[in-house]
Amino acid sequence: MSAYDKLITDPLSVNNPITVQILGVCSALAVTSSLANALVMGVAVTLVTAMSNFTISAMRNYIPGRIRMIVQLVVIAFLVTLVSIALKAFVYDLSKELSVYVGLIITNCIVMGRLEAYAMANKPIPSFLDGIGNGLGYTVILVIVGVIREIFGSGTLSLPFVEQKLHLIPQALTDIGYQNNGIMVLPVASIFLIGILVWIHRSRNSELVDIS
Amino acid sequence: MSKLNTNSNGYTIIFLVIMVVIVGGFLAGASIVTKPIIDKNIELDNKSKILKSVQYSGTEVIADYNSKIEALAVNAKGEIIEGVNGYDLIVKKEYKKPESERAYPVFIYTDGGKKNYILPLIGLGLWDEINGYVSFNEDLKTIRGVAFDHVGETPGLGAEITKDWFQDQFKGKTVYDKEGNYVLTVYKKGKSPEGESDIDGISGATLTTDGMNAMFSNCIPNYMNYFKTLKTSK
Repeated sequence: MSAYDKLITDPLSVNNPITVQILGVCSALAVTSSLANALVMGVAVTLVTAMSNFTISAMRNYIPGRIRMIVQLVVIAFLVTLVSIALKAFVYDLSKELSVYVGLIITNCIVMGRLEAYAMANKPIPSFLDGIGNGLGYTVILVIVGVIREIFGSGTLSLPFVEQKLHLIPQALTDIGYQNNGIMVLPVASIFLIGILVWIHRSRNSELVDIS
Repeated sequence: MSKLNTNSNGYTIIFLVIMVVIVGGFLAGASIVTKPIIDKNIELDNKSKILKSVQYSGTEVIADYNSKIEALAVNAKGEIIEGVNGYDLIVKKEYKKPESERAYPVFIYTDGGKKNYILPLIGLGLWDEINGYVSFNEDLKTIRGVAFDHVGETPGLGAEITKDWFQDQFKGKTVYDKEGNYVLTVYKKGKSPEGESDIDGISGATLTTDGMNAMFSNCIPNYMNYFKTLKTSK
């Protein structure tokens, strides 16, 4: 079982998709302006990565090598479109909330990265767990960046599907001249934050430092 | 099984064809099966937006819409086009026609003898279409309420136009000044002069805010002639 455990725990730290593999950074820049968005995107990517890892791994012995990327893309797009249709039919409000995320999942490098790096060479169950693990690793970074950006950019914290936001900056502080940091609202802020996270992460993990 | 040559041209082509047929068939099937449900959801969503623009909050959206809202269509001269249900018009298509051929939908909400006029809006945000409904009080220049929607604006930035904190600002604002000029403006966040026609925008969503201004100034003046005939007929 320990090998399976590692599939989940490794991507959370020493093999984190964002800070170590540097995958999926584009969407991490775009959707981390609030905690709610970060959480929704994290869950969506986790599900799609796990499902597509499982599917591709199950058919890995039949996929012609020369067109494997096309097959992977078709599977990802198929799953995402199917989910999007189901959302529209059965939970319309949620599908409106997710609108752009759906497109962002298809283009998320983590999904295809894991298919190429793991699912093509491993059995379905470990591949599924690898997808879950990497999705969670992605979510952790998104949540960290989302919390920092939302607190300093908007002074609030929000949760998905909860209209009420938690206001963290007391009115007294605003009265004496405190202002929200405008750059935190923009995607630019997340590239600095992710850069700092990568730095902290590497300096604390000697095995990640490339000595050569 | 072990003898299967997955790299031959024939295998590759057969694999692709089978895969595309399965995937395509599955998606087409899913789309056909769910179409009536999705259409119903969209109708429910549209009608609840129309009702939301007059701050009506009931649960029986379709029944309430049918009993309280009258949908009609007017032309650029402000005359009512007979026999056309405004709800059936596709606003996007109408705005693509030459001005003289357009039919503009109007929804009339009657509340305790008073009439509110609801106009559909359509414009472009940063990534895609933004749309909505705006309702006017009987004086035909004060906004009673709005309901916006969008196709693909950025969550947390442009997509904030669907949130109550943004939409509530429109309540009670006037669209025309005393001389009858169109004046409603959405400003950059924090720059709003707080006048009776000024609205605080969303920081980080400049292009959506600009699109919002363009949407209002493109759509509302089209109804000027209709509003004039309403005023003279009173």
